[in-house]
Amino acid sequence: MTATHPEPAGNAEAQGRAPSSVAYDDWIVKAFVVATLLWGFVGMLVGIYIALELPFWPANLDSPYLTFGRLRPLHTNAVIFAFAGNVLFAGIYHSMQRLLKTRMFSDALSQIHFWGWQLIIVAAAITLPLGLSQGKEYAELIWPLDIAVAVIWVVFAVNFFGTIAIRKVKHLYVAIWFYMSMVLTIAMLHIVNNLALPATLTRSYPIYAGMTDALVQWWYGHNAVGFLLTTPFLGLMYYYVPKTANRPIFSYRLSIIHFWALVFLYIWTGPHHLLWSGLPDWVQTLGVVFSVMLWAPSWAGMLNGLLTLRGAWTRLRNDPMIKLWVVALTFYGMSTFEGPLMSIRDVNSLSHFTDWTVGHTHSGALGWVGMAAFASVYYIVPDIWKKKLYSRDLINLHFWLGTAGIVLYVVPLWVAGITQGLMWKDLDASGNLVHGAFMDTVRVLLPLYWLRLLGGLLYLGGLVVMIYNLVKTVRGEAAEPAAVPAPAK
Amino acid sequence: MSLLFRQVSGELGAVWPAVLATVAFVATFVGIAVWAWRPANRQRFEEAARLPLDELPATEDGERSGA
Repeated sequence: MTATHPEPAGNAEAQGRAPSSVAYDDWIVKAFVVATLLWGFVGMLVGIYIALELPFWPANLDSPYLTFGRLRPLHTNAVIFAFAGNVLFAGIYHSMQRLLKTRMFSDALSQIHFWGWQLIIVAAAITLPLGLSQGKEYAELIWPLDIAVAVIWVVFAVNFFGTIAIRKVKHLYVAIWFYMSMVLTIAMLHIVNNLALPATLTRSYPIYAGMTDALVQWWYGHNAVGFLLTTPFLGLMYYYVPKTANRPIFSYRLSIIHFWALVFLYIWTGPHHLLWSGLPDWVQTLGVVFSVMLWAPSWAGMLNGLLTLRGAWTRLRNDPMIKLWVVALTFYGMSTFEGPLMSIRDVNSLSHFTDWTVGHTHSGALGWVGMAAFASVYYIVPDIWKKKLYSRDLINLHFWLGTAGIVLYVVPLWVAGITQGLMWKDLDASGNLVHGAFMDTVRVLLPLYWLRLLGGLLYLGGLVVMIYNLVKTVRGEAAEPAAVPAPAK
Repeated sequence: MSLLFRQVSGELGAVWPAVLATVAFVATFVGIAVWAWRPANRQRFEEAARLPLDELPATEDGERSGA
């Protein structure tokens, strides 16, 4: 950002020279950042509300629209597709233009993508509380919305690959490969899992039956985690960690192995959601084996990110954005250790259907996805609004609120899950269940549910601090065009 | 040899495409690993790693979509 009179790409190209500047489309990045913060707040607020309903059921106000069963899918759809989805699009539009040294292929497609995606989110926010659902986890949206998602995704894909086609650099940086895996795989998963015969405007029947339907659903469900909440966020990590630390990634070659190992292995892991079910035993074993093999690439990626900070560990003390990335990567490592562990049959027989699973997903969602999203947005906002960050102390406060919130959320649910699992397995001397009534476990878990609510409140508090900080940043003084220090070797 | 092949292929039956696909994917992955760690590619990947740090600045007029 040191050039005082940059030369636009078009002029240089016309004269057959390499451009010295690019007219990036930053409007689309700003739009997705604003949507991220808005939907992040809404999605997490709904999460807080349903966390309250678990220990205090009268919070549903006796309204069918506010029951846990209807609001839970609203929460998961909002945080996965609205919060995480929008921050991914913001990061992808921001980083890919800069990595490929070109403007997006089509501004019109970018805008159709943005407005279409927001309309789908609004439609989901209306239909899910009304009870209009396909009843498939993370694929609850009714068939007309599924078609809308497919159309908007294709618009995004055309713009994405069009931008790659008009790039000004030969090499596709590894982050682009991670993004590409999302664009292709999510399209395939979404279309195959949502193939259905419409009966009315709001009801449909899946074309699969019984166990096949369950297998396709969890092939989709687990890979939605893999290719929406993991690989593209790793793409953001491979771009924003070097940018934040001002040094190249620890090992580019390791990042290549990380990418290919992850995409080869991830797609097979879905059956671990159906252990001890009617699914053929060999398919269950296949899911377990591939899940356990994922340990290696996942930890390779985590270490590659953390070791990028080698020689700069002192910044961990005073740079809150580095702290956010370190916590994000640490939770990536923890949750990708825990997931394969839970896929082992004997562990799964204890953990399945318990709050351990909820604790596991939230260590990934709050720890990895959330912290990586926050760190990326803290980098993007000053960069594209060209403003000084309002307060680094507030980022620090956000960091501590978020980290304390995650611990207070996840640890009680680990305890709750193992307690619940052990109580369900508890037999007396004659082989009968000691805790035959479901309410026996619920009574024991109530204090832990209150603690989890407190953790969620702290995490949401951190997001509110972030929104305040960024609003003040955007309204504040412009950043001076200071010389950027030479990056470390 | 041909008897052994017939026995093995007979037992594997419809699993053959899966076996071939697995071998092909493992071979592809090993090929990628060898390519990534080949000393001749070292310089190339070191340059690639610097791409996020070697960006072009933005022009002032390009912010708004359609501008």
